[in-house]
Amino acid sequence: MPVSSGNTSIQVNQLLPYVKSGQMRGIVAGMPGAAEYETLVIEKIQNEEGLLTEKAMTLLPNFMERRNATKFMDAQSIAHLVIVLFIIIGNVSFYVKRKNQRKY
Amino acid sequence: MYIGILGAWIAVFLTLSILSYLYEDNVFYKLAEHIFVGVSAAHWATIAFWNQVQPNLFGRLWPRAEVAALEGFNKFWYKIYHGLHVMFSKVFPEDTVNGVIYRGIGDQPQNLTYIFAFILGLFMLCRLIPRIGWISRWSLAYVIGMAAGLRLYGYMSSDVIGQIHATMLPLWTGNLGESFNNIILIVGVLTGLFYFFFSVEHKGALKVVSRIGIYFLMIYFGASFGFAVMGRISLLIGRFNDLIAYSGKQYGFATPILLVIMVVVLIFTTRKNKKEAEEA
Repeated sequence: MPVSSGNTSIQVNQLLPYVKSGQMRGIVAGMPGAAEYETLVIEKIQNEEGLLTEKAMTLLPNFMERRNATKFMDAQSIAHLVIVLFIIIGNVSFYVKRKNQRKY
Repeated sequence: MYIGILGAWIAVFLTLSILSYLYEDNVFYKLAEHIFVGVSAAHWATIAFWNQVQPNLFGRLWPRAEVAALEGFNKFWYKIYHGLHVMFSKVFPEDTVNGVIYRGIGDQPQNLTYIFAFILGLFMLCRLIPRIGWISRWSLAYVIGMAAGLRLYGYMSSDVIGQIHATMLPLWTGNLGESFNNIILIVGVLTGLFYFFFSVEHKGALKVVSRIGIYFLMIYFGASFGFAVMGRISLLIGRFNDLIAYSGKQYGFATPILLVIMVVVLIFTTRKNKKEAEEA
């Protein structure tokens, strides 16, 4: 049975070997995966007519307007940049401190 | 509408309560923590009962059947069901369609061997009575033995044979990128495994191999940590999104009002605690 899954980012590393070995077809990896999936779904809907039921067509504008995962990626990217910045600052201060301690 | 507003206030209160731990361990955090544990346990138990025990266990012991058509042992068996229906009508339902009485759950075929599972389940509850608590060990022994057997087969197939098979890759495929990836994968697996091979001392060339293995492991741990951080950040973004959404007029300014109340209470309790500590 073909298996794909949507996972939180924490589980991605454990599941990637199964994707690589062909035991799983693929994974929607965390929020970036959700954003990619969201974009693919919207593109597919826009390109193919008659794909959706009438009920889904009424919900579609709301779904396309919200695009939660894609919107949240901005905040996610900024948070990652801040973390990277903190790691750099922490490492630089560590080396500076160690260098100063060696002087005396 | 009112339920939606109440839900928003509860969500904001619990979110702020958990975040208040950043200040210090306090009464709001403890309350939210206890609610979380209690609700999680209750939710899990309810879902397990209505999705597993009721349809898969009781549904196989007493599948839905017409009372008039029952014969032999089932006549007696479904009388037991009726007795259970009298005590727990939601769990053991009975219904009448066009004057015909039906008893039982779902449409799965009857399988009376599930009575052993039912008995083992009852044994597990014996843990609640200390005098006969030892009986629950039978159930646990069965669960552990069965799980080990089933998981062994699954692990051998997916984690051992499947992964070994996936590592047997050609070093040169004709495509430079693909070949490079294959070489990295094979070198990473072999050196990583060698790092945990302690039958020979890691000296000279073997030390280099082992060191390369460490680098691969460090990259793996780094990637794991990165994904873990990414996951937590995603959760935090979700919470903040809710806090922002519920701060509007349509939700009665839930976020700012609760935030101010909690800050005031925290300041008050901190001062009180400080005063008491000084007096003591």
